[in-house]
Amino acid sequence: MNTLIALTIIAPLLGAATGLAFRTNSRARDASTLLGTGVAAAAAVWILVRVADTGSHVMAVGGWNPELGIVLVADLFAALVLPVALLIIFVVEIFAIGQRRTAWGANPELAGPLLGVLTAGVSLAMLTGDLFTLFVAFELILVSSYVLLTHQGQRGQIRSGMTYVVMNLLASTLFLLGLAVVYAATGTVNMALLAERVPELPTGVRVGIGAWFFVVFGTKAAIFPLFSWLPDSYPTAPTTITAVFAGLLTKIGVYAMIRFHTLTGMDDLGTIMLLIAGATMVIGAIGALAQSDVKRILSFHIVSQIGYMLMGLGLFSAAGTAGAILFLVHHMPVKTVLFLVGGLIENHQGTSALDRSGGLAARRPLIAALFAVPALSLAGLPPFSGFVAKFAVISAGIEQEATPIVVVALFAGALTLLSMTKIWLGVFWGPSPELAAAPARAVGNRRTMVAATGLAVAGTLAISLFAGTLFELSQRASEDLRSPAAYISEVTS
Amino acid sequence: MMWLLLGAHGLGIGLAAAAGGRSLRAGLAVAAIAPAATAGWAAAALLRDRPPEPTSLVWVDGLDLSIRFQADGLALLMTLLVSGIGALVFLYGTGYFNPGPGARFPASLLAFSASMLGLVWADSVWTLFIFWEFTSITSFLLVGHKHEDPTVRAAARRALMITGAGGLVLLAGLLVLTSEIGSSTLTDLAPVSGPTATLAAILILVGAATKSAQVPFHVWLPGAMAAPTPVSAYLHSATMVKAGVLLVAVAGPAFVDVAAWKVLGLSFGITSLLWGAIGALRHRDAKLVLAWGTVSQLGLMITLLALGEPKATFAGVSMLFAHALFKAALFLVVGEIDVRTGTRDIAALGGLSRTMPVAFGVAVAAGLSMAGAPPLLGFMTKEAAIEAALKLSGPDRAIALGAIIAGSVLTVAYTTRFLFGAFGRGPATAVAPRRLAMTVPAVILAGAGVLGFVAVATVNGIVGPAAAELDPEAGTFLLIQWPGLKTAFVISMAILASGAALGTALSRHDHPARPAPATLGADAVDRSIDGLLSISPRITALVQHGSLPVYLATLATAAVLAATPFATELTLDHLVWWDNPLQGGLALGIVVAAFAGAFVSSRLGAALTLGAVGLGVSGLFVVHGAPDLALTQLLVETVVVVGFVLGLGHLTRRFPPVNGTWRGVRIAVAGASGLGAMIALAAASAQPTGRAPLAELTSQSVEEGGGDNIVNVILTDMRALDTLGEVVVLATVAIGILSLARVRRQEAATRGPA
Repeated sequence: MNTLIALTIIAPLLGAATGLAFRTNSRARDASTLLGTGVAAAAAVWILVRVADTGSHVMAVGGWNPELGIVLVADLFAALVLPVALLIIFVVEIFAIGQRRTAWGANPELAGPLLGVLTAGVSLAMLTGDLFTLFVAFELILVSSYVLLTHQGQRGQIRSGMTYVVMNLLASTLFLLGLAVVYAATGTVNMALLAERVPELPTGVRVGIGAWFFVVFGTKAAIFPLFSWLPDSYPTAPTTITAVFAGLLTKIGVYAMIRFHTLTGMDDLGTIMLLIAGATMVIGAIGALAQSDVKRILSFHIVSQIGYMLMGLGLFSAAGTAGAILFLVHHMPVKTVLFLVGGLIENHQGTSALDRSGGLAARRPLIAALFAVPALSLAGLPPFSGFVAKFAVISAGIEQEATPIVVVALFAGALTLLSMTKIWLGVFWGPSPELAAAPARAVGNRRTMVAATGLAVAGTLAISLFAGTLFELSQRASEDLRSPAAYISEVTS
Repeated sequence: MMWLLLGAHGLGIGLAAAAGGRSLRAGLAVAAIAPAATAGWAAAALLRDRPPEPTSLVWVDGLDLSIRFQADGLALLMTLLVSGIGALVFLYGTGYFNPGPGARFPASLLAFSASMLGLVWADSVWTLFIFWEFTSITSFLLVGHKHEDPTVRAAARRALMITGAGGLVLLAGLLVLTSEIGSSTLTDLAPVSGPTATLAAILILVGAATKSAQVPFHVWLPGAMAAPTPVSAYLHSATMVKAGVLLVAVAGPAFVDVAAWKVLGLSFGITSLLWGAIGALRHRDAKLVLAWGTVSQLGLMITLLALGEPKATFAGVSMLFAHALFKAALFLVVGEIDVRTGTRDIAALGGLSRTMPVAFGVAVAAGLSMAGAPPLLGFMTKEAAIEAALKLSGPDRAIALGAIIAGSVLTVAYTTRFLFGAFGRGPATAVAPRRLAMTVPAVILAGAGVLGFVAVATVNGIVGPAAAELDPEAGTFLLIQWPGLKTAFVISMAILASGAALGTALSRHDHPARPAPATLGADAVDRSIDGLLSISPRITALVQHGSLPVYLATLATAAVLAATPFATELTLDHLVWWDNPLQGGLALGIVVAAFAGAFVSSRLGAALTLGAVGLGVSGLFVVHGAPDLALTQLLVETVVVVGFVLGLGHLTRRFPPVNGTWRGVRIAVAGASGLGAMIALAAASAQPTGRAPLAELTSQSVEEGGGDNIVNVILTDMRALDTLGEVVVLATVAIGILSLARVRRQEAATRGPA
């Protein structure tokens, strides 16, 4: 088990390092990237199987006791989310290989290795049982994503990359400051020990710590009003990069929030979280309506959907947290797929602007179908995974009699549907645009791209199909997080 | 069996799409098979009077989401309509469409058919909801069939948004209801009461009203007539729009004790009954006449079902059955007129009774059934409705009776006007040759209305058990061919006479040159959707303005707000000024340098003051006895300052000026951030619940780590993973810088020598 856990972090890093060594051999580079992520993803799947069966596993890195060293904890929450995240990266890498010439533009040899670093950061962020190591994982993710965003050196990318990196660095600074505060108050950064010691703190300090990390993780998660870095920067990156960002980055923030705030029992923050959740849903959805470009609409949807996960967390009930976890599991692949389809759209008509699109359903019915499934899922329509996830969160809200947030969630759902309609009417229906402006760009290997997208769509359908099992696992993960005694004893014993 | 039938539909979708790829007509023919089989199955089950076994499939156990099917009398009646009319409509389509390929249409239409089956078989509110939403989506796709036309796209969007939003309201209502009764099974809905039940009742009714096009949510239905006529006949008159009525019927028993259910249901029903009929009289496009008529008739059904009286429930279910037959037949005729004459304007048409005799016969039989004239099925159901109203007592009686009579007069009037307009009067419109595939289904449907009257016992055998599912007493009533000279019959005849007179009179005013009437309400919906779309950029611009300094100030402010709870626990007792006076001096230096950095106006000055702050911090490390940390810090600060100075060459020497208010905000945010950090640290260290394991660190680093320098052991052993991570971070940054530099170099190279 220790080997499996180590593999999820080391394999992508090794893949990245080997990839960098192959400067000119693109096949070998692709292979090493894919191998790194693939091994990590396979290990993660195996971890899930084991953890679901036999319970959490704690790995004390270097054999140090948890007061001194770092622990990696594969509890059910981590084991459930990690394979989804790693498989997404794997699929996107396949897509990117198909689209290499357009997607990776200048410096194509760097994208793979950088994704490897990002992957290692994602694994570390999910598995770590140590708040400081979480900070390191955030840094890995931030730096690799920033370089991915800007390494082609286009002016728009560098400008929006500025917003991205400066906002996130300020958040990192706040994270460090928060670590200092936590260490001063409890003498540890180990999450299990924190779960023990934070609830015993004086109320003001405890709530302050919770609120502080809410801001830190909230910035990463792009909640209202801290999301502004996201819609500015995401659409400028190449589609494949955005697809990974969209599926994973903000979700790491949500993940950290779910872990930290439930383990340390920050129920007092519930009301404020629900308020922010509502604002995030509505403002994100309105932002999506305002856009006239597929990628920009999809970027704002990310924000809006974060609101639902935050709602699940903010309810601070077993059902709510379970809903948030299921939402996370559903959202990551669906959002990625939508961006991949965005990439296909762009690839086919040379633009993702709505006013220069049209009639794609007639010309490319397959793309229309590949879009329709995740789009309906994101809008929360049955029988897709988004329906189950939204249903879980909303029924948890009804159970807690949190009527206002339920109303807001449903309202935001209608707005989301409208913005999806906007894409559908703009891109897939209507007259075809003048074909004089047809794709002048290099198109790459469409078959690989479509196959990768199809694979990802099949993945989202599998999530719908096995929603029962996944929800059961989410419920168990939620129980574990909300009554951390077991977690504490496993880590500290 | 039900799974098998749905599976056959699934298979049919694939086959129809494959066949449709070559020929749309062939696709439709293939698609007709599964519905025909299903209709046969339903008919057999009804005739043998042996309901099929319920069946279920658990989907998400923890959320009580499951697919549960049952086919009781009501479900079988609906199945007969959905699949029977479905098969006929597919057949009709093979004549309606011109030859040519088309895979999407037959597949979507069959997908709708399957969704509708799921909806009528549902035995769990969630099963119902899932298929309910399915029908909204397939309806959207079918309404937008001719999507090159912007008005079609607007109509499809309008329909989807109204029914989609209604779906969300319904979801809320069902969640409230199920949490109230603790079960999601439809067949054993227990009566509920109280404020929560009222809320559920209102939400569910609103959801039903959007689907069944009740005023004021009806505006999507006339727009949906942009779809090909088979779609209008099938979805938007015979089946999908009945979903709301069905929901009102099956949920009704749960809300018998909720006053709001009846009041709101009657308001929706009666308003729609009257306003829909008026709409049918205003419009000249035959499809719009029929669509508005559907709004009206659905209103009548909702009125009857909302009353919650056994006789009214029986009448409502009978209407449901009769309406599907005659309205579908009328739509099919209109489609034929459209295809053969090229117009649907009843003012422009004329004399079709001579040129299209079969269609005329169908239209008369179906139209008179709609008007409630004997000897037709519609007559008996209208009688039942009037009788049900007569049996009521109190204000209900006057309201229901008045509404039914007024609505029926208007119904007769628009039927008369439609028949006269299209078939009577004036020179006959030129027609194209008859297409047999279009004629046969229409004849069958209209014939069913006649046959229903003749073989009333069979109809009673279908309708009675269906009504009994809702209310056992409702199953005891019968449709009657000749009631004799009773009050209801007299009223019926009076309605027919006055309605016919009104219709004839209005028909004289129709003239093709007059402008088409305004589409009251529909454009208002479009305007509000467009308004939302156009106002959203302004709302978005408030938060997404693109100014990085404002974003940063927002984040800092959020952090300050987050730090406020610390202030409640602030004590200074545990703080000392310094361990060593040198710390005080250094701290003062740091503070002064930090302030200077904030106020200095040249970039070089700012870089240098920041360097001074770093220098002060490394001084603090020295005083604490950590020379290696101090050295590291010193190194970092030096590199940073050098980097800054090198980079300054590309920037203006001074910071751009900042105006008064914004300057004030920045000072306030910066000051509050510093204060917040101080308070947080002071409060957090006041009553720690744990201490850093210093003793253990000291002993373990020597014993286990084998090093006397604790910091080194921490970095290279205890927390080596963190170090690895940070090393990778640095390497990544290096890669990033290199790649940017290379891009610049390439750009310079491609531009060539200047």
